[in-house]
Amino acid sequence: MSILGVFDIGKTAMYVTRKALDTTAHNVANINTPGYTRQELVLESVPSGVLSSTGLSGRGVKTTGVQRLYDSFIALQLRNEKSNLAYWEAYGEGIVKIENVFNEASDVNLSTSINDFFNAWQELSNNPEGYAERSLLIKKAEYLTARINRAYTTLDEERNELVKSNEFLVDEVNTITAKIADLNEKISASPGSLDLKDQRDRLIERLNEIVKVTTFEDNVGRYAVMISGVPLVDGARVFHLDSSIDINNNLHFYVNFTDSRGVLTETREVSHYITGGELKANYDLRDTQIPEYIDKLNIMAINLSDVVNYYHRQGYGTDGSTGNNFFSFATNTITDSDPSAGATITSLSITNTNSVSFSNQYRSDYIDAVAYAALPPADQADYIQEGTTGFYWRVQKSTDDGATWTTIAPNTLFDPSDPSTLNQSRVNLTPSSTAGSWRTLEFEGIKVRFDNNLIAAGETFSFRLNTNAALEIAVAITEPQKVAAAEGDLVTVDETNNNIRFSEDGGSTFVTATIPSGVYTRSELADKLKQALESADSTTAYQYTVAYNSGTKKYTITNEDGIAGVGPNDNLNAIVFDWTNAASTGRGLFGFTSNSHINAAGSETGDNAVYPNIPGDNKNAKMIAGLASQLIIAGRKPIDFYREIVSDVAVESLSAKDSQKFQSALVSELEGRREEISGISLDEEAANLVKYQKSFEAAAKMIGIADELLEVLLGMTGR
Amino acid sequence: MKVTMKMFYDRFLSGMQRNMEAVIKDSEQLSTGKRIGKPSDDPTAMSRIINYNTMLSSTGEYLRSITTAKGPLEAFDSAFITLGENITRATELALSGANGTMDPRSRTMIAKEVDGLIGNAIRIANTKVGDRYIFAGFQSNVPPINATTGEFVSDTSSLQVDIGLNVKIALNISAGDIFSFRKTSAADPQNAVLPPYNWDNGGTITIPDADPISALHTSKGDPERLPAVASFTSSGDVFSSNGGTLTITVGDNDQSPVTVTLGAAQDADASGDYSLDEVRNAINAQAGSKVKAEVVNFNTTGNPANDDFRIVIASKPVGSSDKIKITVTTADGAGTGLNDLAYDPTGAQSMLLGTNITNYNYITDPSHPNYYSFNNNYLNENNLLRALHFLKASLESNDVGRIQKSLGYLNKLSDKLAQFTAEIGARLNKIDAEESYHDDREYNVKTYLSNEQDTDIAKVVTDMSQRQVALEGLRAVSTDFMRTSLFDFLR
Repeated sequence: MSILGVFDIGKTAMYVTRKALDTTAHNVANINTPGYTRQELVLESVPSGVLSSTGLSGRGVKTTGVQRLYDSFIALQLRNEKSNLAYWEAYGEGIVKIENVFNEASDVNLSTSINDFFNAWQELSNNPEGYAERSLLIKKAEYLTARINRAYTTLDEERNELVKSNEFLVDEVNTITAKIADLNEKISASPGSLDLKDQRDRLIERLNEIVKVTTFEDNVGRYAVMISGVPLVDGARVFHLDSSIDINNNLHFYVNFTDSRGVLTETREVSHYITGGELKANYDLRDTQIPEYIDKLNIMAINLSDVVNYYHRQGYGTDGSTGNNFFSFATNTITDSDPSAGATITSLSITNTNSVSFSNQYRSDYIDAVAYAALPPADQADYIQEGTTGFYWRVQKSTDDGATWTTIAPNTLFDPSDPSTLNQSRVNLTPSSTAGSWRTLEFEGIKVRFDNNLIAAGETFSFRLNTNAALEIAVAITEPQKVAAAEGDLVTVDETNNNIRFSEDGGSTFVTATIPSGVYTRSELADKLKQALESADSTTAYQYTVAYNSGTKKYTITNEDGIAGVGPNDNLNAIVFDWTNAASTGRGLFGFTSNSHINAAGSETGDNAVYPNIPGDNKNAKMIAGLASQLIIAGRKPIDFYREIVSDVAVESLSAKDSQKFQSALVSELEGRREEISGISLDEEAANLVKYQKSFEAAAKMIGIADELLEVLLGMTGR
Repeated sequence: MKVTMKMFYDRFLSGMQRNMEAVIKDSEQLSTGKRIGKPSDDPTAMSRIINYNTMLSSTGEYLRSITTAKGPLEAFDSAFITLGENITRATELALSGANGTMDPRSRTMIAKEVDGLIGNAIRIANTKVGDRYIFAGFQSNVPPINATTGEFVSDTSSLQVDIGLNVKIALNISAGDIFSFRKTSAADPQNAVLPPYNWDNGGTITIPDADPISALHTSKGDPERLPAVASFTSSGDVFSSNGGTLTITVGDNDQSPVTVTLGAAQDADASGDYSLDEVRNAINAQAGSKVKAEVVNFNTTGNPANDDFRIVIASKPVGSSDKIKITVTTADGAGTGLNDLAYDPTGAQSMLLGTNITNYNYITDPSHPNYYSFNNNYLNENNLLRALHFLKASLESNDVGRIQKSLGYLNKLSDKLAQFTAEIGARLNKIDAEESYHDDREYNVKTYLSNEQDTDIAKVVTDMSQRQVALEGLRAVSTDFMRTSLFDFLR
């Protein structure tokens, strides 16, 4: 080997050390660049090609390239955990917003409104005649409904907000995937471009924070990016992610496949493939968590208004008004095929929050024994008999807005006295002890009460729970005197209303019946009227029946006539009530609005009777105030139901925080591990600088020495 | 392990952040005074806090109810004290009126004072607390007692309020329970609460007006009668087989005795004998204003098997029945028939079957037209106004017998009043007990609430100062350490 070889070796050493210094400088320069991976020069000695007498010697050093100090396993783990972290961060943020709606730690909160509402009723029961207490009650009730409305609106706005935020995220995903595809192209064209790889890795990491993806590298270094197997990036091709909202206000994600010319070929739904990242957090919040709380608010609104209205309708205001709802009945859409006759739905409440569905539509109908017997046995199985009456009930549901109906099977084993026999997935029928006056049907967490007698023709009722109940609930009573604090069971009869003028011969001769003055319950009043009518009989003793129906609050007077031509009660005798005569003051007691002509063996029912004002009656107010400690909302006290919501959201929020903490610890641990490998230590780089500087100096010295050696040789020849 | 600058920075920053977060949380706790700012700070405590707040809210409401309830109940207390004084005064007046030496004019004067007492009693009955007449029922906006007729015009419903969970208390006492009653019919003045004295419906005696203060009666079923004879089971049963005459005098010096004849003319059904009704009709038709007879069923059991019809004879004007003398002339056998009616108060008391039925409540059926008459002893302890009116009327008509009778009523009323005073006392005691229970509970729940909710200041301050030390150390060490690297030593 010639001395000149030493020059060459020196030259390679100098060249390589300068390159090494470059790399070090590049590292130092990028110390703060996110996602930068430490680069290192890969050195290799140059083996000798020539065998000489002195043996083999190397030909210097060369670089085979610059490599990234990169552990793909840690990078993968980090990507996954960062995706989880992003999920919990976004989820936690969303839950905190829900939590703020139910923040009970502040002094103004929903539970105070609930308590105030029931306290206002009690206040009213202490002083039922007080106008101030009545107005206060209405104000407190309005405040309560406003709070429920506001909670609903806030949650609903949050849902809409999440749609917006999702749109941004989807856009970002599409931007990132486009960039990745772009980088894929460049990297495949120049495989050595380490910084492009760094960039691509950073994009993948960010993509993972939005939505968890899997990647793999093909033989030319391009990444394929997929959401649970559905590709977003395939080499240089990008498939766009898209989101939309369906008619039920549910969010869906799609991937649009295009062919090589960019024409849409297929749209595949990936909603359920999204497993991590912010997108998943938003999806969970929007379509699982928030609806759950909205439904709970709805259940509260529905049951509260149902129960309070039920009792309020029974009571009387100081102006004698009755049958009024206290809350505007936001509950449900109910249709009755025959509203004038047969049964009416008087209560529709939710008994089981887990089984209830706000999206189903229900339909119930009944038939009499004749119609039942005519059915084929297979159809008979759909029906359940009401107690011992000849009526049969059926309940059907529709999950597609009434297009198709399926029957909910009856629970034939149900025994109302034994709660363990209740089966929420079947129809449980409880008849009243007095046959036919009311019955309840309970199914899928819903309990419907039908009042009054059924009709042979049958009726169909259809109803669905109002998904906006919490938004729509409002106070229907605006005038304080209409607040029904009075149970109004007592009727005062005195000189002003004790006379009933009537005729027993179709209107030829009239007599006046006088009801003795006194304070009576309404059914006592019915007896008094019967006695008065019978004792006022002019010549012959006719019989009457006066019945009071406590459900409808109506009186029915029946002319119990005998057989034609036999005895005094032959059926020629129609009774006529003369309500127009001044001597007939008792009309209002029984609620007749016009003259009543009752045929032989016929009967007549009054409209609702208006009773004299009894302002000191507090029984109904007391009853409603007492609802605070009754299990009225899905089997819980109102405040307990609300407490459950709060503690649910609190636990959810706390566990989100904990998960976030845990994830963040995990991520920082992994980042530490990555730093160990890929990070840049200034000390290390400084040491390397010194090292390379010294190497450079040494290599230069080598060339100097070679030069000296040459000079020696040249000097020898020149002499 | 290689330690890079970034690792070092990150660790430093996150450590710093953690400490700062804790400090801010501590300072938040200090500034709000509350340990819990959000439900998620402590979900179980939050749930308990709502529960405690609900308890406090309902306890507060019960305490407010108690304050409200005290007003009317204390008003009852003072009403009853005044009423008691009224009755005492009425008793004094009755005692002085009953003095036989008093002249009629003085009695009239006393009657005037009693009239004043009636007015007082009505005013008390119409006491109003706030918007409500306390002696009314649910018709609380109408004075319960009509000031002119004395009629009870309200209802007897009890206004219950909750002063604790399932603890109720009535806020009212109905005037119908002590002052007066409701007329059963508007048209009939005999049913008036303050009726005219010895009401006479125009001379036709369709409604017998016997005075049981001092009436005589005869009974076959009287257990004291020997030998025992079966009761009359119908007013149509045969009393006398032969008829005869009854000569009736009232008082020792009665100059105009009446003679009642039971002959064929009085045998309405021409049966040849005389039923209880026929004897009664004969006496009422012939004795004029001297005496009145009534057939009364003494059966109080309601069971027809125990029917026991008797003739009651009372003087009219009343008050002198103890002086009625009845001499009988009859063909009936001794100790039977008309002979049973013979009576001589001076000693030869030959009315064998008779007992003086003073103070006997002989009309027990409220629908009986004479139920509320003075002549019935119905005048019970529920009717204060009537008792006073009775006293006043007897004073005005100078009837010593009835003045004495009224003393008995006033006594009964005193007892009744004492009973109501005790009742109100009991209600007030119940309220006090409930109040102290709620006070205790409020205190306890507030303590629990404070334990759950309030900042433990000592703990937070200690925690904060610890954090501060840690934070300062961290800052000092990190800045010192970070300031240098190997580059500083390159030359």
